[in-house]
Amino acid sequence: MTVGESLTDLAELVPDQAILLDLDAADRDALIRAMSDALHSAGLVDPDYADRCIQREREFPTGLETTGGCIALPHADPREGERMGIAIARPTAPVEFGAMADEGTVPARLVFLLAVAGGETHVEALAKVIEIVQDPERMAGLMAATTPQEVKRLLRRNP
Amino acid sequence: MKKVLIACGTGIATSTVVADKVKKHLQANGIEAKVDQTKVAELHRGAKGYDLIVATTNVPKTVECPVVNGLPFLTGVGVDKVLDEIVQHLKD
Repeated sequence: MTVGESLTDLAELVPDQAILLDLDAADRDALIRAMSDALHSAGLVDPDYADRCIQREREFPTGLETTGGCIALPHADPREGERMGIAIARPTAPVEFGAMADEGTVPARLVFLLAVAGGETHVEALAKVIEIVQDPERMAGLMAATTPQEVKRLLRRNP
Repeated sequence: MKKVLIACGTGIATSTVVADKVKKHLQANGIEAKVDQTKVAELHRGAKGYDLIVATTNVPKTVECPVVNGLPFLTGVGVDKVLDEIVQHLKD
């Protein structure tokens, strides 16, 4: 998807190979690397996207405790030539992320790595992600999903 | 007219998501206010002319303006309370 197109379906931004269910990740950085590599192999971001996300995470942590559970939204500023995409990971054990605008950490059980270039579309994508993570029912569905197709169905469903 | 500044620390425009919700709520409460957005890095210059900052990140202590935590708009936890706070600040 390119910048400027209107977003009708969040699932369109998520390549199947970037849905990592029951991912073994030693820590936050390993998790970000696995997710970023998945977006890279889908041809969406440069190989160093993980480094940029980790750098940004140190400065502006993205862990959030929402009504739907503990999540994180790592991301970096997009670069020219990179395309929009979202990777979703469900680590086998919660991964500690710094809390957004707060002290302490959040044990994230579901992580959305966002590669969202500027413009209206990315605001729309972010608003949809926020809508999903605030919805306990859909979050429970994502925690229980066993296939990428199931995850995409949950992303598509209107609340 | 009152002026509200929405500040985020990140590049994903969390401030835009928050700004939409704040605007709608102010309208619903009949409060006329101008809502602007910025990144927290721009706040070192201060927030002159603003009545309130709603932030999804830590705001430098040097900023002389009331600050309300905008995180509830992202987490869904405590939204009503923060909306009340915003209205309180902007009422005369």
